[in-house]
Amino acid sequence: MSFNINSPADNQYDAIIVGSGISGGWAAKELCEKGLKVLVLERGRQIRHVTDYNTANTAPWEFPHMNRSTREMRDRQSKQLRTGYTVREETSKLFVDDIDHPYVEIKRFDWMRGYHTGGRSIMWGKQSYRLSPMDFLANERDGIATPWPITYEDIAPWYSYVERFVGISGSKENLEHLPDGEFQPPMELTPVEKDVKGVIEQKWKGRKLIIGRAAHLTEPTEEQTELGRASCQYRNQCSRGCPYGAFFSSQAATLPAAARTGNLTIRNHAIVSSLVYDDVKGRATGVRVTDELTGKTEEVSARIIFLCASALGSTAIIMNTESKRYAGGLDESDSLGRYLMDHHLGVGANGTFDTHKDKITYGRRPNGFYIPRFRNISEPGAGYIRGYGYQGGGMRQGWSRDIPGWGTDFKKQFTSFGPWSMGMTGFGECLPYYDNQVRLSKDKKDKWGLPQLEVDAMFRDNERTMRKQMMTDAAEMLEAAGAKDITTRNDEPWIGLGIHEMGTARMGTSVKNSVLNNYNQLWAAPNVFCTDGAAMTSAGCQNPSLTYMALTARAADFAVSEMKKGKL
Amino acid sequence: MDRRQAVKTLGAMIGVGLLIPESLLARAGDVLEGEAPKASFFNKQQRKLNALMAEALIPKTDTPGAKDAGVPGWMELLLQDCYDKNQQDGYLNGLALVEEECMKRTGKNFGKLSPVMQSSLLSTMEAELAPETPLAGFMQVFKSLAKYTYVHSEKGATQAFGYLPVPGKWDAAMPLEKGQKVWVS
Repeated sequence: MSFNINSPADNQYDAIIVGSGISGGWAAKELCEKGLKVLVLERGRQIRHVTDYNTANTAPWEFPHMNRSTREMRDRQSKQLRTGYTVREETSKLFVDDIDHPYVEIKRFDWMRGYHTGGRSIMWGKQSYRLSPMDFLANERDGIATPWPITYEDIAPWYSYVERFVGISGSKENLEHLPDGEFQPPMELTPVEKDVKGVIEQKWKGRKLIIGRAAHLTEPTEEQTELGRASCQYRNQCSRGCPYGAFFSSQAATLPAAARTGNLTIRNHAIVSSLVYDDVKGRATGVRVTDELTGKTEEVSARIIFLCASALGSTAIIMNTESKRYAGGLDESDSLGRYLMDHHLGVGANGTFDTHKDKITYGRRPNGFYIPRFRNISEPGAGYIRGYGYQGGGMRQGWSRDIPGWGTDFKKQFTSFGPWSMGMTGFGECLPYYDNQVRLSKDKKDKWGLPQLEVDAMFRDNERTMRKQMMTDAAEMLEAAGAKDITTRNDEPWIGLGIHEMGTARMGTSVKNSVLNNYNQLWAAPNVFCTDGAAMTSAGCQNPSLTYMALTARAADFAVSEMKKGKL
Repeated sequence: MDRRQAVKTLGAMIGVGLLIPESLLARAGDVLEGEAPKASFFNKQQRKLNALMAEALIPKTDTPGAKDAGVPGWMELLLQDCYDKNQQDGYLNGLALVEEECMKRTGKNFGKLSPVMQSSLLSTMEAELAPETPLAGFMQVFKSLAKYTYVHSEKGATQAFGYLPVPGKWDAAMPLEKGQKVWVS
């Protein structure tokens, strides 16, 4: 594969895409396939598909510290560490060095970033759900924030379009509030998951337990096979990079599809600091780039620009753009940098089952079950609006459970299977709040002299009230299904930890209420599109990446048709 | 693997004429023979007690014990490089508490007890000590680290457990046969 060519910028590009993650990869594929000469600017280093997945086949004893985090790693990644699972030897290099990439926390904000080709598409959770008609109407119905400028019908064909290419395994369920997609065969639920499904679907009309919808190939299409992708091998070591290309990432899918057109150039170590804005024409002529390694700056121009640098990354670029007309970024609606959302999690329940002792699982399913939202749909919420879904798994316990004793009796238990247990954790919707804000620091700069981001956001009353019911609903469902030793949790929810930053350059119906229009065009610069999490007008409670992909493909299609009409 | 790679790299550096301190070369040689301790976190007595306790937790049976699996060395390396200072201090203090409690209960040093007695003493202590005492807390920390390093050692993973690097399929409900090993990854 030859798409990772660092050629000098020669200003011969039709389109510049900032970022090569899940959104940038889609922009690259779509624009290249439509015949545009495309330059992808990626701020971090190159990671080649398969070749550079250094830990993909490493056995636990081959890691210097058996895959634990060392003090040295923790000193450099004190913020990336906050997930509890990302800073260890298998994946720490896929997350940023917090000393080199600082930001200011006015309030605690857990910002998990991956600066390299493919961005977080290598480490993402792969859970892929559509937003529903209800979600696109939610703000309007509740009279909060601002209405979405698009409906479900506008985006539904684009969901189908991206799903067919991505490859999502899942089951058709006919739920209005969690629309079905174009699915590959679903992964199977375990015996206890099936039992719990049976109980809760019988006891509560409107609640469902389904297999997760996840971007893993279970029956690759010809198109996917052509790109070198194969079926999931059930290793569940996805975040190291998949040597089979079985889960969807930019590396495995969109970038090679873009590269085979001959229209793609990717430049690494290229930090975009701002747009170059022409006040007279009311459009951007290009972007300003700082070389990560040399610090050299330059301008690169193109007819259209896609900002896909992650929610806060794209927002920072728009804010840092100089203009005589707009002060503090290309926005006149006072929404740029505001309405920062994430999903709140870390709340739910666990229990064990004394059934199915004669069964175990084989393989490691990189997926769990999903309980779609039911609160404020089929059942009212207790004092809050919107709702939550659950993700979890029912698996047999192994060596890591607590086992009493020392010596041969201990060892016998230690090397035997424990009972089946189930955990479920809620993913709750966060409302868009004006006061949840990110802005450029006035005095603090990073080592390239670019202003640091200052984040001032928190979960508020609606989320905190919702969490109480998220916890009790989970415990009640486990109890109804006959679980033993049920424990509940409701951790302090820190914004950012869902790794679903959204909303800081939202789409809206007018230049007065939003940064982007219904096709993700900047109101202030129609040749600039922003199609990552920044564009989200509300959050839903579903994992958002699939929506970014659909928005990106839709915007790319629109952009090229406008160019052909001579309008861009 | 990484260590071998490091030695190779050293060789390459010599090839291009870089100056290597003699002590570094000597250490590289030690590593090649596989004899040098991986870590120098413990003193001699602590190292011995830690190794005895590991074997008392996971004795050799028809599968390798902690010692055969290299658990004591791995534990020391992880303690040295992965634990925070206060955790390290707590651990060393815990080892001293074990020796103290052993003397109190048996009148002997831990190392003077037979392996079976060592396991049974620790089981009794675990059952009798209030969970909030520092000694009981340490014993849980010890178990957790010994379990982790045993399970992820080459011998532990491949002989006492079922190491499956590439399962290739997902079976949500496979019959549990006698002798089936618990999965590790």
